[in-house]
Amino acid sequence: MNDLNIKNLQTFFHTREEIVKAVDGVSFSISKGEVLGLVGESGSGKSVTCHSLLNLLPIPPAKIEGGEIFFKGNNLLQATSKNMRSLRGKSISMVFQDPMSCLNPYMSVLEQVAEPLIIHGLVPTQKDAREQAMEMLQRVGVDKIKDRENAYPHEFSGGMRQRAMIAMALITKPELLLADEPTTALDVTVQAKILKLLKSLCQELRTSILFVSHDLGVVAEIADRVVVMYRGKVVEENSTKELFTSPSHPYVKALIACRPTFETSVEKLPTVDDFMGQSPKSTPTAKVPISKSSNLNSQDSWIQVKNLAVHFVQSESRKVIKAVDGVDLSISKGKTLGLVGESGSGKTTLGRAILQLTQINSGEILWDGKDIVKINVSELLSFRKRMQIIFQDPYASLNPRLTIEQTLTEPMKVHGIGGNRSERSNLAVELLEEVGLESNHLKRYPHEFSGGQRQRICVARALSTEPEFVVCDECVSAMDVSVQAQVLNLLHELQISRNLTYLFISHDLCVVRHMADDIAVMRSGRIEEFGKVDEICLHPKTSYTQELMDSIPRTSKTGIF
Amino acid sequence: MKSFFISRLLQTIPTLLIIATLTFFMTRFAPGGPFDSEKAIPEEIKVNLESHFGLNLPLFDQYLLYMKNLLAGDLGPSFKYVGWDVSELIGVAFPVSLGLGVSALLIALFVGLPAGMVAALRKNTLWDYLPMGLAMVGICLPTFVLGPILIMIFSTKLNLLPALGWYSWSDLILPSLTLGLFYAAYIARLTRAGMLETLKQDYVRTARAKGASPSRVVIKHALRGGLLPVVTFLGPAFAGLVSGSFIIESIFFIPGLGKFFVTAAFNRDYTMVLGTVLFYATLIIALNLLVDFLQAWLDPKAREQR
Repeated sequence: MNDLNIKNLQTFFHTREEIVKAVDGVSFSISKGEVLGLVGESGSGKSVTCHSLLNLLPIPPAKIEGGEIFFKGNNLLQATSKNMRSLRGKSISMVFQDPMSCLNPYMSVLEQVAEPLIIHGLVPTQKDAREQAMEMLQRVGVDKIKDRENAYPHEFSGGMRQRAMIAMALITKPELLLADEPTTALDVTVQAKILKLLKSLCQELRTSILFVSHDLGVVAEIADRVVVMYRGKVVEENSTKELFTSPSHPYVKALIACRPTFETSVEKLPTVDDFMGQSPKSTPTAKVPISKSSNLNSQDSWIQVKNLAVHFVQSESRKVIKAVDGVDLSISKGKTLGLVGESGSGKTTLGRAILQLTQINSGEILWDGKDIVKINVSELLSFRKRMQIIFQDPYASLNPRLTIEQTLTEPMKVHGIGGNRSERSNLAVELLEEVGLESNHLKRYPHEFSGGQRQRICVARALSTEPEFVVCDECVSAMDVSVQAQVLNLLHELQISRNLTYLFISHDLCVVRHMADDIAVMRSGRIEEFGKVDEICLHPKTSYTQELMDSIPRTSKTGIF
Repeated sequence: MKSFFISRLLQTIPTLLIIATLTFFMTRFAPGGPFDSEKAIPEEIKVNLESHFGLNLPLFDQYLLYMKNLLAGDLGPSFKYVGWDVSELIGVAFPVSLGLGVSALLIALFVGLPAGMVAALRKNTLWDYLPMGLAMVGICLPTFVLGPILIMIFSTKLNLLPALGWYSWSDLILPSLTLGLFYAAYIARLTRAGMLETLKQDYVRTARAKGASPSRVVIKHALRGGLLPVVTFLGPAFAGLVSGSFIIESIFFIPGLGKFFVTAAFNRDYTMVLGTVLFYATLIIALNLLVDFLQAWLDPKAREQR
């Protein structure tokens, strides 16, 4: 018998201008003990589906317009708010994406984990609730909770917080768990552990899971069956194995093809447009191995970093944090050095230090043998022209009050590129066309563009000084896979046409593998391993690198590819 | 945490010394003196008076003498209220202002907090527009307008409450209402904004997902975060309230500290000005320290940062 049965669910958002059909006729069901993956890119309506289930939507503007949600035979859409409350947290629990913002910062973790028991009157006393919570926390691997009974969320790491969140959701032994991107904010090694934990606990408690994610790899790891959503509709529903081996809908085919995988390498990633275009072209999945032929203009160890250290002093506790702690690297001209590491490993600080955007404590940064740490301000300015950066968040890194033209021409003005305004303006148009945008975009403001377009603008901005070296700091991490593929392709094309050198910083090993020639693995401020990309990916020398590789959710582990 | 408060306490000493020094020289450089009045007093009497209070000494010596006495806890004699020490005057006037201030603050809290919370929970309904509209009026309406209006209604027309003076408990009602409603308006707006901000937070949604009832969601999960901005505002607000309001005290003829404060400045009553300024400064510092305590109690993260 099905635990959950959703029929033709419609949830719309009524904004002042229009009605957004976030969920538009979605149907699926979950049977007892099953793990159903719900996959889609941002805005596809997967979270709204989840929130509709528990009636957690902000009403207004959201409104459930139609459909039925049957949970063990009862239509949840007709339940009274009191009945709904008795289900929430008891029979149907939820785990959210961001474990920092989703735990109450003013309440101890133990108290929050115990709360569902108290709310639903499942234990006679507060003391029992706390004891059960303690037991549950230990089971999900929150270590040393016994000594930290009064610890608050901010005293926990991200992974521990997400464990606490899972403990909180499972403490009432619910029949259904809604997991909304539960591992997206976590590092890969932590993600792997959390996925394992979720799966084993739910098997033990016979809890069904609706696992929502944008990441096909993660879903392949955990789900028995997958539902793919696109623009509010279900486009495909299939068993995990079937979905990956023989997807039927073009969008699903595109999604599978356009994410770089760890095992295969292609010159150019296919994009969703290739699949969704009017004329279904001959499948561009033909994976051409990258010709890693040595570039003619390549020059080994063009930029050299020697024993670089960046320390921060925490203002309150006076503790010294060694963000970068004695790093040696070399970057070859015209090549890409991939820098991978988990959050807090110091990769962003290292990138900024190489660009002299952060004060360094010691060490040398040599460009063609010239130490740019020791040069004076005016000399550094001319170096700045040669090195640029692209940041992670294209929403935050463009000034919302400047037109695209102003954003693009300002660096030219600073570095004396283009004689006058109209000349610079023409150069800006050329840049826009180079990154795949149009000249009529020049007078617009950043908010008029989508995330992918904005990142293209950021790329154009970085190129406006005609640099030789560009640091890409997690520049595709916030993007959907289809957009990510476009931006990665763009970066790759530009590298060839302009003979650019990249320092490509990312937490995502698959993306780095796709982009990089050399790779450096960073951990707690030090370089764990450094070498040719294939060498390290195929034969990692340290156990940490091995662990990183093993943690990547991949479809091939399930024997699909 | 402990060391934070000890260091904060120690910081108050230089702060107060700097305030004392600045005030001392600023009052002295203002034109006129305590014994220049419209009715000219004979020159020899003025000289006698000035030497009695040490005003004939070089300015810097006067400063050193004042600071020496200050460190011993002596604020000196008043130049205008003959036979009274400044500390005695403050001792008489402060309890009056304190009584008025505390009752005004209670009114402000009892009106402002619920109004702000109801407005936040019933956002964009009459329950939001009505109290917030009134609060806007309350903020815009100066106390010297509201005071006479209240006197007109409750004393002159209805004859329910005394209009002026400071003799019985009923005298407290109108002035503390006048003063309290202004602060109530502020608190209501801050509470509303704070609550709306916390109700939007993800952890409030988590609480709902646990099956918590609406009242539990508000009281256990949203209230603490929502009240933090109000607590921050309360410190300086309370200091302002209890140190007396010149306007309120003038309207209602109340012998509080605020009146001394202003008249002392007009009279060039040097020691009195200095005494009241230092008293006010100490009060503000102490209350801000109290606010820090309260915030640390409400917010575990703030506890750790200190």
